[in-house]
Amino acid sequence: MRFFIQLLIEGIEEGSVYALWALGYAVVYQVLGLMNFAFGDTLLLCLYLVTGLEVGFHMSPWIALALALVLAAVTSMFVERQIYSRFTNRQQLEAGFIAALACAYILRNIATAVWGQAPLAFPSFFGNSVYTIAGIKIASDGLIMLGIAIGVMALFGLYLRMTKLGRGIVLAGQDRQSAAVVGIPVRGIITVVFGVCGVVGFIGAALFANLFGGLNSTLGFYITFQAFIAATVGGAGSLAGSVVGGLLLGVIESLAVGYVSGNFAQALAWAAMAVLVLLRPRGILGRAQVERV
Amino acid sequence: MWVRAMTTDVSTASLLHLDAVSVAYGETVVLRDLTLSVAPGEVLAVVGPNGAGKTTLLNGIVGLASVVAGSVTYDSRNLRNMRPERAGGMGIAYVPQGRWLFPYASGTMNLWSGGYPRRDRRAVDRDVKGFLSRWPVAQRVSRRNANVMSGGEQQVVAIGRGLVAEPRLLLIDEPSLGLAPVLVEEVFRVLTEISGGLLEKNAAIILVEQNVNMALEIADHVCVLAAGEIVHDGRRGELPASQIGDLYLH
Ligand SMILES: Nc1ncnc2c1ncn2[C@@H]1O[C@H](COP(=O)(O)OP(=O)(O)O)[C@@H](O)[C@H]1O
Ligand SMILES: [Mg+2]
Repeated sequence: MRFFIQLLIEGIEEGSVYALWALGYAVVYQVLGLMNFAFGDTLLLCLYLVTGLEVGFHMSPWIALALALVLAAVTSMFVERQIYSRFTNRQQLEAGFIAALACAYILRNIATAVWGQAPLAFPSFFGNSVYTIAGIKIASDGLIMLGIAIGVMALFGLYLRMTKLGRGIVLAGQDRQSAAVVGIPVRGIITVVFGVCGVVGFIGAALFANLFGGLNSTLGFYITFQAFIAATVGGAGSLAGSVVGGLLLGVIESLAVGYVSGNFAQALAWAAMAVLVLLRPRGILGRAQVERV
Repeated sequence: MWVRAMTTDVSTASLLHLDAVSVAYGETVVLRDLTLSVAPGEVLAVVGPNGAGKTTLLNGIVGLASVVAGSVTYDSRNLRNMRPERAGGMGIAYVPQGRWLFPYASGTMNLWSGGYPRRDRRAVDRDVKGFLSRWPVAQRVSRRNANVMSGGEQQVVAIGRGLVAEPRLLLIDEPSLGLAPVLVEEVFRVLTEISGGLLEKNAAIILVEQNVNMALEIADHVCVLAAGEIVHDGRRGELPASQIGDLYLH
């Protein structure tokens, strides 16, 4: 039982980061219908920048982090404006998806061209101490990560609910044509969505890199796949679904590591997710999309 | 020459003027060579059989279908092929056929969305509250998502969404479509009252409706559309409702 609770806590901690990734991915998907598979590699490039600035320019890691956060928003918006919009304006979503895959490689290659193929260390932002409570080991950095992730989700939720632009994002995500008809500036909103999702995703990516203390060039695709899977399991039409999907993915992974083997955990978790989607094709909290000819 | 002078004259007096307009979806031209105007303070009813092109006419005005010939002038600005999201900012509100409410947003949020282009957010909130307290049907669904509202409730909210836009030109497409007779009356009660208020503020309304009797109660002007062309255009009372029906029933 103790072991189970231990795994559960670790799963929720990691799952909260997956939830941030899933949110960043799902909001774009909702508003645009585009599978943004450059999502993770955009964040990867920005993570490399944190390490690069700290090591190369002896910059304070917090300042490097802030710069990278801005870069995450700017790069996401730039890719949308300059590349995706050429496809999505014509409703060429499959072509846009291929373009996203190409962008993912370009962004990753920029990172490896500058910083090399070898794994890099990522600065540690909060020292770690481990507490034992009732026989359960709790690491402070995991808890801090969970706290920040919950905080970001709450702020993001408030932003979407309370601000005019946030409400515009939600409404455009439900029905883009109807949004245009009431005068919501859908084109501009899409660009804003990329920026905001870049920020939310980057916070998740930085928390993850901080926990593991390192970076390598495959992390981008890993982020993208985890986000895609969590969002799909949760229900891509629903933001609460992304959070549920992320937490579930984290917990299943953690249980698989604990009870089966670390080597197979990833495969087992993804297989479990595939079964879940098979059972609930729209996702756990998914809902029907508006279809209009 | 004087024909041109006449048209110019008409377009300055009117809020919206369509001159020899053709509207198409892609390659398919649906409306050909259509001329009509609406003056401030006026309700124009557009009637006609299914497939006549009534919805296409409204879509052409707001930019959801493309105007391939002619000119569309609104408030002395050229609207031809503007992007739909700009219509709201210019004071044009569209209540489309099928209502197009946001399915997972509450009645209140749907009403609020109509005021999106407006600057004064407090005035929008006030108008939303005002509409809710005036119409119990809307009040009942203020916290319910649109996808679980009845057709009549949806229609009232959709009209309210148009009203919250504080429009100078309100376009309403078949508000009674698919509603039970009691609900049709309820919807028309809402329509009659809000159109009264709008006309006082010198706004104009284009009402597309199959229910000719109901439409004629509100309209000043009637335009009968059949197979993409205007077959009758005149003031209310020039033709009795029964004859308007005859114009397109066979
Ligand atoms: N999106 C579209 N693409 C192509 N043709 C369309 C489209 N919408 C409507 N039409 C065609 O345009 C004609 C007029 O349709 P519509 O304006 O909806 O008529 P009404 O509103 O008078 O019933 C019909 O023949 C219809 O098939
Ligand atoms: Mg129609």
